[in-house]
Amino acid sequence: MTKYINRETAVENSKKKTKTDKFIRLVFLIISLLCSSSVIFILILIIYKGISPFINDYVIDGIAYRLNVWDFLTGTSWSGNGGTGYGAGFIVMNTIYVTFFTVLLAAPISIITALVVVRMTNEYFGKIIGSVIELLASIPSVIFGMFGLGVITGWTKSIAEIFDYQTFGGQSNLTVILVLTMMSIPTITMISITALRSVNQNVITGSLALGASLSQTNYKVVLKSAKSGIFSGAILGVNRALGEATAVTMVAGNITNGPSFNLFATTRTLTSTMLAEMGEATGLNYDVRFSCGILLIFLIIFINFLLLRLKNKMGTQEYGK
Amino acid sequence: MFFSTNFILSLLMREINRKRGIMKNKLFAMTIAVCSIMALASCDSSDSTSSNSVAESEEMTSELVEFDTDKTIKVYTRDTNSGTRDGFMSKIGFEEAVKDNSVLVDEIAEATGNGDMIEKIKNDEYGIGYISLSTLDDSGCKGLKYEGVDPTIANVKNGSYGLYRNFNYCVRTDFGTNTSVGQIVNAFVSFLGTTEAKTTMIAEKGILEITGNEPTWASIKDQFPIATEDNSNVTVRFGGSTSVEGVAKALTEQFSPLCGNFIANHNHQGSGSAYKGTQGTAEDLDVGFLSRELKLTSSEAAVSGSYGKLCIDAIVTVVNQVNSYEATTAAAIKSIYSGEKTLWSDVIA
Repeated sequence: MTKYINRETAVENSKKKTKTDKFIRLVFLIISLLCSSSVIFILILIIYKGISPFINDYVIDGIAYRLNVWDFLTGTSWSGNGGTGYGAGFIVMNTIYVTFFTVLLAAPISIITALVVVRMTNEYFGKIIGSVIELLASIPSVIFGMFGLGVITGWTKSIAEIFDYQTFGGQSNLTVILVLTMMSIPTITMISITALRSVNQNVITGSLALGASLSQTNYKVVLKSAKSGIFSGAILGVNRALGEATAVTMVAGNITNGPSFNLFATTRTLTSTMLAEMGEATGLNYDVRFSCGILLIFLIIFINFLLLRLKNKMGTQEYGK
Repeated sequence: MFFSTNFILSLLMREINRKRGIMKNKLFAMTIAVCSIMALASCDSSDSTSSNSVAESEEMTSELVEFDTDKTIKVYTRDTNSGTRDGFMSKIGFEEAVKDNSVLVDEIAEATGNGDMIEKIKNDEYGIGYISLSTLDDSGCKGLKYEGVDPTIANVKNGSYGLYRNFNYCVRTDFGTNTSVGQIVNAFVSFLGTTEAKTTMIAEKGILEITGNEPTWASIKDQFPIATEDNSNVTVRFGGSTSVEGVAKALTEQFSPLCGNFIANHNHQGSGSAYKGTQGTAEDLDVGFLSRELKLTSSEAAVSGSYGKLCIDAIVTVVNQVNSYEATTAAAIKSIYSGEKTLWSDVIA
């Protein structure tokens, strides 16, 4: 039986629905604003604590200390001597150094793995490898650190002995790079898999139909089409390497001066500096770690800006679209 | 173990090829991952898992590895905030190195705690470091004689072993409305002076004397009515030095049933966190432990009566088991840590 309502009731119902929609939209807007503002709160706190060593005096054993910005940014020694000896310049260089080599090692491995999963193996095996990669991504950082401390340091020590170099029990730039590589590979691989899977099948078919071999199609057509997504994965890998603290602190050695470019020498990164014995730190020694946090945030923003510019310059040309 | 896991792997791969009704891929992948990990883990180990066989293999390793005295000394230290570093550097006469890394040898590595130092020394045949005596046994490292004296509890008690420091405690003074926690903390401080507590500290390698004049808990518990109440929903927060953690946990484990079964929550992040957490800015501890003395300056202005000595602990210079260095002196350690002597042949006769 058809039900009829009069015009006024219909208009009233419509107004109620509009009000409900507006209310729900407002609630969702508030939630999203709260979430995005938490980032701003974190930034404000870090900056507030981080600039304190440069604008406030810290009295240590009767002497007032205030850090100099230039000395902090260009210093080559982290001696932690009461009120002086906080130079983070070499730490920034060490951080960039290990991150660069991590991505240099992780990116090709990840891209090749993604290519194998998507293009070079059957569906079953591809799913298995993909699942294993996802499992690897869920392993906590401390486990990687323990693996690095227990296993990778041994490898590094053995490799160093071949070059007649004596390491600190294997703690070195190379160990940090290998540990970070293991942690970055899952991230880059998963994004690359998604990017490769989204390549237009017609493009691949067309390439093969024109006489290109499978390898030629994979490297010159598929990878080129997916380069934007793959590059995004590499950017995430860079961020993972830059921000890792626990695993790096366990295997870096935390050298007190630098910069350290020898692969077999100990190193110190911004994250390991912030984390090392933070619980015991008080006063200036505690607040200066927030200053390192500011440096890290700006470093991440700067590197991401550069990489995004590079990505845009590479272009987003995708065949078949 | 290795061959059995390989057999399992080969069976699984055969199933892949057959494309039969296998379980879902993710579960399948996890199975392969677990088997791979098991295979990897079994590669380097024998089937025996007893501690005796591990010790035997370590001994065999030490016999097989020849110690080359022409190698560089790899120096390990703790962070400048560490109480263990404070005690070590002060006792060897290198006070300037307590807070300043610039006076130390250029190439130096930092450990984050006693356990971390032990692992680093065990992994480095040419390393030298320092740990608390309470962590030396079963550490796998070799403790060096200091000024000709073995690092033992007996030698610390008789005063012949000079590398020692006090374990101290400090407590919160302002508990606000949380009076139960305050009363339990007061009772705990009094408990520290009893025979039972001292016996526990000795069992945990803390060094102190039982004179026979100490009260028992039974004789003083009437002074603390809180001990007869049900405190099972009261949490007391303990923290501070990682060196004192073992002693602290043993004491709270013993005292909790004697005081209404309160919950003892331990979070040891270092000596610096003891004052910071109880009377400083962090306010996240009720009782803090230190492996050094409180500075009693503006940065650690503890209220009188809110701190005291727990027991004595010794610091031991440690090297790897294969190292032929047996005995050291304050001058030798200082020359190593200052970078004056860089090769093992400089210090080993």
